[in-house]
Amino acid sequence: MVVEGSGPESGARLRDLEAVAALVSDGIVSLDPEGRVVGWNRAAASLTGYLPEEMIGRPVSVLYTEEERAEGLIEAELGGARESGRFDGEGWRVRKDGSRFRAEVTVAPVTGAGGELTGYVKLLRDVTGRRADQSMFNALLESAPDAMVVVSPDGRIALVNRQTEVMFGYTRDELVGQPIEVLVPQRLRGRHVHHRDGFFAAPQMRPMGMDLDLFGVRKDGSELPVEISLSPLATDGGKLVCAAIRDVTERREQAERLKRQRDEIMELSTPVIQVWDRVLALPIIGTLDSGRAARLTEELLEKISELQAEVIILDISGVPTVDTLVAQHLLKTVQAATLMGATSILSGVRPETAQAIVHLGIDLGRLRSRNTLREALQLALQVIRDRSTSATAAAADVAGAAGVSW
Amino acid sequence: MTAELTGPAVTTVEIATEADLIRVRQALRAACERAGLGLVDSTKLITAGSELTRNILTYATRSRGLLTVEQVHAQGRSGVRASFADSGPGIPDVAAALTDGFSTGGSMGLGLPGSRRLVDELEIDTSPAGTTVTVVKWGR
Amino acid sequence: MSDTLPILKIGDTLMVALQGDLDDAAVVRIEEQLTREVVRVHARGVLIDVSGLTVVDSFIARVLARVVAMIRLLGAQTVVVGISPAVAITLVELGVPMGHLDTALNAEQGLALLRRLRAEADRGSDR
Repeated sequence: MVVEGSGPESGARLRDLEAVAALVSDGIVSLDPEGRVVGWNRAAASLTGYLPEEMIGRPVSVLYTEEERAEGLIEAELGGARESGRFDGEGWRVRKDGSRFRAEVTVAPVTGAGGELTGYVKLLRDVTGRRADQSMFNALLESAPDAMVVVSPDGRIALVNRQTEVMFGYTRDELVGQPIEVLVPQRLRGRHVHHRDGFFAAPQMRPMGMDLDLFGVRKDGSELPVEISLSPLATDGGKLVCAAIRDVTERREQAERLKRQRDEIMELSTPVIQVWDRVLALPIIGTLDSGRAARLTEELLEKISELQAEVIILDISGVPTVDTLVAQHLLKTVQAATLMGATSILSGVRPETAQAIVHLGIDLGRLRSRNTLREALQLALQVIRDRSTSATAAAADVAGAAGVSW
Repeated sequence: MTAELTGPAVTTVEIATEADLIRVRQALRAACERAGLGLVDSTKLITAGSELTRNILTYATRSRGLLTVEQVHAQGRSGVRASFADSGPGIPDVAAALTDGFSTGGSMGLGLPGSRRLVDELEIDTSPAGTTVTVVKWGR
Repeated sequence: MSDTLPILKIGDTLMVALQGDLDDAAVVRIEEQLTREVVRVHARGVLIDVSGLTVVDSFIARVLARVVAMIRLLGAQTVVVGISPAVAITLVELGVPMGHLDTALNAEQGLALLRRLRAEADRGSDR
């Protein structure tokens, strides 16, 4: 910026300039060749707290910190402007009340008609907020434990943090500008593009793929289980989406370990007991879900086969509620045991359970039932005795048979 | 999670006559053993495969089909995936075909609904050009 | 599976063991041979041991049910023995109606059950 400072039209020009200076939001300061203030616009006043009448004629150095004054920064700025026609810099300045602000500074020399230096014009802009926002944003982004990926509406990666590089094995340069789908396993990409478009159409903060197992893919092709939350970002550059990606490998493994342990405890808590020769009891305690019911049935049937048990007692006094699902599991167990040739006896049926089973319309067939485990065992022994009698008789038949022929 | 890179070990069996039933069961049994499935799970899958093979022999025109068996892995478990493809007329109403007692082939109609209860996953891809029923049984 | 099924006769009871992977033709042959044999030896009871079968699908199960019904019409009782845990669970899940099948764990208990069934049949019980 070069302003001609003398000549017949210069007075009018300077007045125009002052009118402009009064309008703009940047602080505009005119200095004489020695660095004393000769012009001070409204924005400069509101920026620094000094009124024009306080500043005119004073050295501009009052705005500088003591250290900067000691270092001769003012002279350096003015000298730089003089030599190269323009000086750009940034530094801390001091307000009238002693508080500081971060200023972006541009200085230009003003010359007369003969080319001689008549002064300087200096632009001051407060960038304190911008600078803090920027550095805090960067620091937050970089220190985040999650991989943060900022995506533009066309689905391309605009920005990634350090953790993204660590998690996915790519460098920043390899990722920025690529479609976000490079981080999505091949098999899920098509669906992802569709969902992504949907999100940009109606962005709102939310976790991605609620209750779904999400996966990301590393540069080397290996997959990792992830959790992702999406937040829309409104910026000067348009609508962006910030995806926070968390590696949940460990958490999922832990969840599976817990589940396995729970299953093991469950299995221990419902053993098949041999209560008598050829009589098994299965006390069912707690809630029956499909997985557990299937395991119980298998365990029981294996024991029937192993011990050649003829009667099984299913004790349901420890089951809090018998709903359709539980009743159906019981029915399946009884049917399978019957197919193997074992007789089933139900025990521990409470009045409300009996009501539930009948109301549910579940036909337990010829299944015999007793109120208590003790009564069930008595019935079981009766069944065994009857069977033994006929078995003995059958054995006698065979022994007495005329012979074996093929 | 590191991707397991065991060989795909894909087996195929043509389904054209009732004699192929035995070969279907054998292929499924071998895959179950490779995947380490227990006896109960193996029996369920082989039986489901038997039912689906009968479906092809009963419904598919020209009575031709193809079984593809492969081992699958996910979240530390192994399983067996079996796809039964035929070039038959397709299933007009999949929901009805999955309902107990539904049958257009004169049998009891246990094929699809029964098979579904025996496996962990069952998927039907059907069009007038043919049907593929894919089942998966996971080990525990 | 050979073409002829080994059928063992003890007294007036027939015993047959099914084994291996049966193709449909073999399953249908069993039906024919067993019914013919029941009539030929005037059997009163039949024991079918299926412990050697690794798979019983709905077709095989239906043929078994059919054989039992035919044998009953011929004046004898049938007991199926040796259904394994895996086959039992599978049949139940598959949904094959097997309610009318009389079953026992092993041959010994099967013979005992046959005896009880015959006693009931002879008493005229409508079980």
